[in-house]
Amino acid sequence: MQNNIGIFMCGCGTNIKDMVNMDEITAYAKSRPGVGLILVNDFYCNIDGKNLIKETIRKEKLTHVIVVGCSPKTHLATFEKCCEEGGLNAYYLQMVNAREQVTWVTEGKQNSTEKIKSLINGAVNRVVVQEALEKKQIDCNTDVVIIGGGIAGIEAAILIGQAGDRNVYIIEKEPSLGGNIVKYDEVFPNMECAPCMVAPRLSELSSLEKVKVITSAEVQDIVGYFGNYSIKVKQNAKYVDEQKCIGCQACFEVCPATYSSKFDENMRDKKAIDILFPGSVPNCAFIVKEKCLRFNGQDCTLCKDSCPFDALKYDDTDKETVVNAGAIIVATGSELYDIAKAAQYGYKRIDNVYTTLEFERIIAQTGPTDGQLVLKSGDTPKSVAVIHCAGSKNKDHLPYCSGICCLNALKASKIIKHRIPDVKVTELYVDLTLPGKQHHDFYEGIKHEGVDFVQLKNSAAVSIDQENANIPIDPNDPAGIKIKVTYTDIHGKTDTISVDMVVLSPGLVPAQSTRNIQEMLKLPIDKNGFLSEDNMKLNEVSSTIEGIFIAGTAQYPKDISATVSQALASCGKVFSKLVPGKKLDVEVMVSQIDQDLCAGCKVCIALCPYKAINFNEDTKKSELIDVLCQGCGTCVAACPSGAAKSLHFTDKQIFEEIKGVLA
Amino acid sequence: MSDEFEPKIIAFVCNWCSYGGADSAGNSRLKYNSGVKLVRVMCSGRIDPQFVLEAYKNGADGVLVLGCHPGDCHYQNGNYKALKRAILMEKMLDQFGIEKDRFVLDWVAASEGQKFAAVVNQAYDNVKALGPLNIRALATSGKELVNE
Repeated sequence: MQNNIGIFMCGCGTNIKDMVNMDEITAYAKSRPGVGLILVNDFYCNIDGKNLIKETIRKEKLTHVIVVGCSPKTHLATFEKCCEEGGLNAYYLQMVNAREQVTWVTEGKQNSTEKIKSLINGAVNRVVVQEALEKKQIDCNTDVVIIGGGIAGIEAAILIGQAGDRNVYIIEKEPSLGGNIVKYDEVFPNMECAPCMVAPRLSELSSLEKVKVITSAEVQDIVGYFGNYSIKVKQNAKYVDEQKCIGCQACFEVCPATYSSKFDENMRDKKAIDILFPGSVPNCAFIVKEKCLRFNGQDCTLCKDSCPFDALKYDDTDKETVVNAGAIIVATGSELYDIAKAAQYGYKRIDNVYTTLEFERIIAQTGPTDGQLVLKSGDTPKSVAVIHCAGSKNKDHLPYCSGICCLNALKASKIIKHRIPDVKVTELYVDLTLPGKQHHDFYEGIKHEGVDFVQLKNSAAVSIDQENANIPIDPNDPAGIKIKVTYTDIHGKTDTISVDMVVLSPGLVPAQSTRNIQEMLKLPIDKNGFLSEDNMKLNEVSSTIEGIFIAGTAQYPKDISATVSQALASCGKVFSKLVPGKKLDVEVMVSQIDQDLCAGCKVCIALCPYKAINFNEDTKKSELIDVLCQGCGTCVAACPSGAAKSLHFTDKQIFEEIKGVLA
Repeated sequence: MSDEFEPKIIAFVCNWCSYGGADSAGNSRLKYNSGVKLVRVMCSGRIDPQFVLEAYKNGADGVLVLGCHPGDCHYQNGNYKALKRAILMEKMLDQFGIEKDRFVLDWVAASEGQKFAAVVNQAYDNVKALGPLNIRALATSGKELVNE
């Protein structure tokens, strides 16, 4: 079919019309090969202008359209729609930016006229080699997998589960949901009891029919792409039937074996048949195989004998299942930096030096001391040092600020002061990072409760040691002073204080499970090891891979409110992109790899930021997964055999444009 | 028309940052020479070294490659790939006898109308001082620079 290009020359009021020699442009444009007509109008973006384009396409049977006017950034979508409504494929359109990039930036009418002429020539050259592209849609699975059963995963599962329009699977490595938040007794800034806050949420989650809870489970492999992921999950045997056990604890009492509870930061031994915490979901006991007598050669059946529900399953086995879902929310979280790596803090070396998380377990009703804030000796501490930035803002440990540890440290002081009114508490800090609603007020409140504040020279300017003979023991203090804290303050003055207990507030690092998922999905990470987001400001809930969303501290340290906000936002992305009954729109301007030309060199695979290219081991060629491709074209520029092609930005189209504008 | 040399400059710009930067220059009515013409691609990472050579071959006296600032790429890191290619490009152009100032790689954000105008004006002035690209005589005498 012969080309019949229609050029719609917009005057844009006076913006273009008065700045150029319109007759010269129209005469030139009309003379270009394939151009059937050129129409000048004051505006094409208003209703009359748009109708004129649509009608002209139909009436004149145009094969291609060029709109000469404003920037495509302003009106490309407008004119694409005109083409479609006029019955022409939108990819047969080209725009010439005659306003922002000519009349507004050029001195002299003649210069503008000449430049527009050459840009029209480029557009005419290019448009005739453009190809019709069809908007593509694929079938998709709208179910969601959430990896990580902390507060982010719980809230995301509830929100999606409440919609009730799809299945949502929540996969947790521990035997029950809750994550880190349930280890905390009270949380800042309103000192709400964390387990009390989470309990009704867990009960809500359990009531939702479409929420499937998979615990004691690890993700082994993830294959697929946005809309169609398969997640292989290994569920470790609990040796207790989740359908029968109600968590009555009858078996705990009779169990003769014990294990060191990681949930309690290894500060106490619990029975080898256990529940992480009262009110766990699922509220089902699990056997710690490594410590259970039965699994270590003895013929013990005490738990089975004591169970009123016949829930014990000694022959239970690990199970592998495959879950299919369209989207994955990674909510695998973070953990405290191992502050034992910074020897100066004496952690694990000196008694009564704790992290903020261990402190939480000590004060928790369900913790190793049943909520008694006491020293290892059982005595009540008379003096406590709370140390901020333990290992943080320190190039040898964590170079960054985790943002939440200041509040955590201040909260520790508040709790200590409330439990033991005459205790002496000293906060050693570097800077106070107190963003967020009520956070500064929280600090102001503590200042007035008689806590001493000492500003350190830097985060490394503190060291902790065992008490020695140089400091006389207070005869009025029978427990004796155990720990000395030596520091250099902001003025350069070095001093030592003696305390009974030290609470260290270290920063957060990505949890092991975050690192595992990151490796499995090859997700990009930032320089501190946290998952990279699609856009730090506009889209921190999406990873760089379509259909993989991030919620919570796997992305960066953040507090509970920010974690939950991100979790809920990730659901918004899921709801908007994966709609039951609808197909999934995929990017049209993607790359293509010609299988006949591909030499299998894999250069494109290394360059693709979206993991959108797979190597087919059978054919030894690279294959594009077009639902993942975002159309950047980097693979095309790099392909040494010319096998990769960028739709709507092909080499040929660009070459034609170059020739045209330079003619 | 005077006989004075008027350079032809092609600027390859990414859709998200630098094309927007050029639009910003327009919105602020900042002037630059009309010999500077833009070719839009989605990402500076899409810019094949062949595009640059094709521009010289077809009469460009200077070529710019403009992308998002490092860290701002819409496609994560396409601009780093453009940077790596540009380093090789410069070595190759030198071997072709194409002067250093005829090729520019820079970063222009969508808000940086001022920077866009400054970068293209500087490139224009530099190329004007160099005069027309002599290598064109070679290309048009049958010795093709690029095999399509």
